[in-house]
Amino acid sequence: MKKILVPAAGAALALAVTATTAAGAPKPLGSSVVLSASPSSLSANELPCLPGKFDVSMTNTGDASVFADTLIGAERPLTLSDDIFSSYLPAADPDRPVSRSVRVGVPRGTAPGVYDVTLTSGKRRVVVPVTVTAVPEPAPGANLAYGQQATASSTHGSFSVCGAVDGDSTYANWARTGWNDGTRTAFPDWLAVQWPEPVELGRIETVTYGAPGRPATQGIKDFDVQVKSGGDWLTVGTYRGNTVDRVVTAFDPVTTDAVRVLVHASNSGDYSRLLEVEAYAPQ
Amino acid sequence: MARRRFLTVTGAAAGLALAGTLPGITPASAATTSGSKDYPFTLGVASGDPLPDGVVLWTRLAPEPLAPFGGMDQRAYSLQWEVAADRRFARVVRRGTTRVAPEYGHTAHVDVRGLRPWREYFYRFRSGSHISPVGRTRTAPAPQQEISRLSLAFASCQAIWEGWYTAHRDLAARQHDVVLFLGDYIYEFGIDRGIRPGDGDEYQTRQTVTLDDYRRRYAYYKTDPDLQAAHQSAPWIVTYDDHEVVDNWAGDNAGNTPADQFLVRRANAFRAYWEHMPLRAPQFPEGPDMQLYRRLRYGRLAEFSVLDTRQYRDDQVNGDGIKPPNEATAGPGRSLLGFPQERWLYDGLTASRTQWNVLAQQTAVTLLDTLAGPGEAVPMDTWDGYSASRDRLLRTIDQRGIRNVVSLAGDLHRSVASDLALDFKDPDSRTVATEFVGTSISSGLDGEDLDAGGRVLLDENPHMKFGNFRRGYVSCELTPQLWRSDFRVCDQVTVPDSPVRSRTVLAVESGTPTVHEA
Repeated sequence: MKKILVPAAGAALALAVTATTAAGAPKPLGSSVVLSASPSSLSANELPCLPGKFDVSMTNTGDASVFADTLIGAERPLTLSDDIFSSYLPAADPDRPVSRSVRVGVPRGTAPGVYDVTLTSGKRRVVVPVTVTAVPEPAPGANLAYGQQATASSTHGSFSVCGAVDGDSTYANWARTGWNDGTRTAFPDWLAVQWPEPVELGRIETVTYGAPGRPATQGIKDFDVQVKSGGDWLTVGTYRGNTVDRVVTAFDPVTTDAVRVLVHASNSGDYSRLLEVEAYAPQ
Repeated sequence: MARRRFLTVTGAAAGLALAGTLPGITPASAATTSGSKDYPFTLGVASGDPLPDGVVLWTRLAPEPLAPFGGMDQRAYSLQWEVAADRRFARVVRRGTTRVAPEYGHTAHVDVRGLRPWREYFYRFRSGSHISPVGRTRTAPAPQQEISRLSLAFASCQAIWEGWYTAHRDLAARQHDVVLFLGDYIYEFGIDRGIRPGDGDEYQTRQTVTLDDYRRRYAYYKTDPDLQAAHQSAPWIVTYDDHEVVDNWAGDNAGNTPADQFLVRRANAFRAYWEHMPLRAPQFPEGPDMQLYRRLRYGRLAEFSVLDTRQYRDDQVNGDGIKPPNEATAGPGRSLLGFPQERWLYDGLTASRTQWNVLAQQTAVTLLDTLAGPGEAVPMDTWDGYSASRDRLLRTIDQRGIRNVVSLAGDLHRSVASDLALDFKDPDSRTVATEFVGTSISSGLDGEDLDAGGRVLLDENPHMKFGNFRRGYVSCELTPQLWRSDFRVCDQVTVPDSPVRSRTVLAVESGTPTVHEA
C-alpha cells in the first residue's frame, strides 16, 4: 500500500489512497489472490435450520499484503447469508487463507435440481454447484424437530437459534451447537420449533446445559413444555427446580405445527441455555 | 434550492474548478454521475482534525447503506466539494474534485488547505445531480493566536440498540468549536434486539470480523439523523476504544484468538474506521497498524494529545475484569500506551506552551476502587491495571511542572470528575492534574442519577468529586483563566425526544488543578 496525495483545485489537496505497485501503476485488484470454496459442491434441502454451508477462502499468494473483495451470488430461488466478503489478506509464508462461512437457504417449493452459487473476485470466478434434494422422510422413531424452523424470544450474539434443532446435544459442543438467549437476567425466555405441515407428537425431550457430575448447573430450572393447539399454547409438562440435563415430556398423542419451551428461571440466574429440543411421534 | 445555487456557483467558476482537466483526476472523473439515480449522501457529511489552515471533509457515497459497497458499482467516481464562508454558499473560498473508490468504500477524505485560522466555514459535496447536506466546521487558531474562548464537547460509547442519540441532537444544537469523540463509535458484537426498529435484523446478529461486516456496521450507525447532525455541527477529533475492533483487545491480544488471525480482523476494523472517520492520510492504516495518536493545537489556549490506549498496550493482567491491584498491575515493565507513545506524550507536554494541555483518550486515569469497605478492587482494563504507566504520567507532570493538564476519557458509561493526585492513597498528596470522564451517549440504557456502583465509587475514592450514571455528554468552555465542564444528561434514552439537562457544571481554575462547582 502506498499513499498518494493528488493535487486538486486551488490550494486544496484531495486525498486519494490506492493500491499500487512499486512503480506506481495501479495493481489489478486481487492479482495475487486465489479464490476457493470448501466444499467445492454441496447438497441442501428445504429444512430451514439445516442450511447448506460452505467456506469462501481468499489466499494472498503474493509478497505484498492486500485487501480483496469477493461477491457471492446464488441462482434463484436460493438465498445466501452473505453476498460479499471483503478482507485484509496478509502476505504470509506459508500462505494464509482468510475464510468466511456462507449459508445457503432453500426456500419452500424449490424444485430439486442443481443451482449455481457463483463467487467473483476481480476477474476470478468460482462456481459452487448446490444440489437441492427433497427433504427425506424421517425414519421411524426419528427426531422430527431436526432442522425445522426454530425461533426464540431472543438469541445471544455468539449463538444461533438453530443450535437447538441441529441434532447435536453433546454438552462439549455447547459453544457451537447450543442456543443461549440474549437477555441476561431477564425472564421469561422461550424457544419454539415450527413445522410447515402439522405433525403428530407424543414426546418432547428438552436438553439443557450442564456438565458431567454437574447436570443442569448452567441450565434451565423452571420451565413449561408446550404444544400449539388451536392457536393457543397448551402446556404438556411443567418443571420447577429442574436438576437434570435431559427432561422427557410424554403426553397423549397430539397433532400440532409448533412446540415451545417457556423458561421462567435458570439455575445460573443469568441466561436460558438449551442444547437441543427434540420432538417424537407417539410410539 | 440548494442544488440550484450550487449549480449557479459552479457554473460561474467552471473554468476554475470543474472543467474536468484538473491534475490528479483519474479516468473515473469522466463519469460525472454517482453511478446511481438514488440519493448517495445517506450517511451525511463530516469534518475533522482542524488545523489553522484546513480541515478534513468526509462523506461516503452509499445509496443503499447496508448493501455491498453501499449500493455502488465496484468502480471509482469523482465527487465535487466546496467550502464557503457562509451557510448559503454565496462566498465560496475553495472547491475541488476528489475521487472515491470501491477499495475505500467510496469514502471521501478531502484535506482542504488554504483556509484562514479560527474561522467558521460551511461545506458540501455534489455527486451528479445530488447535493449533500451542508456541514459547519471551524479551523483551529494560528499557533501563536490568543483566543478568549473555546467551546468543545466530548462524547463516547454509542451502542445504537440501547438508546436514541438524543444527546447528539443536543450536542449538535450547541454548535461547538470542536467535538472530541473518545471511542466505542460502534460495537462489534451481534445483537438480536434493541430499542430501534432495525435492531436485530439478520446482519446485526453476528459480530463484525470482515471488512464488509465493519463497513456495514458503520453504515448502520451513521444512518442515524442525530449522529449526522452532530457531525454536521462541528469538526470532530476522534480516537477509538476497544469496540471499534473487539471487546477489550490489547495490542496483538484478543481473548484466545491467535495473534495472526486477530491481526487480520484488526486490519479490517482499522480500515473501516479510517474510511468512516474524518481522518487524514497519516492516519491511514498500513494493514493492522494505524498511527492514531497525534497532537492538535488551538493557538495558545489548548493543545490536544489524542492518545491510543489500545494498539500498544500490554495485555490485561489477572484475567481482566475487576480485581485487587497487585504486583502485576503495578509492573514497571508494562505500559498502557507503549513506551514510544509515553515518550511522545511526555515530550509533547514538556514542550507545550499552551494554557491547557488536554489528554483526549479512552479510559479513566483516576483510581477506581469499586470495593465497598476495606481492600480494593479496580478494573484491569483502565489505567488502574497499568498503574506504573499512570505513575510515570503523573510524576512527569509534577516533576516537569506541566500546568493545567486535563484528562478527558469515556468507557465507563458514567460521568466522573476527579482530582488526579500523585498518590491516590495519601489524602495529603499533591493534585497535579484533573480528569473529566464523560458518560455514554447511549450504551447501558437509561441509567439513573446515582446507582449503587456509583455510590461505592464516591465513597471509596475521595479524589472523585462527582459521579452520575445517566447517559449524555460533556459540553466544555475553555478560557485562559477557567475550564468549565457542563455535564449534559438525558432523562431517558430508550424513548426518543427525552429532555436533556445540565446535571452539574464543574470548573477548574488555571494553575489550580482541583475540581469545584462552577
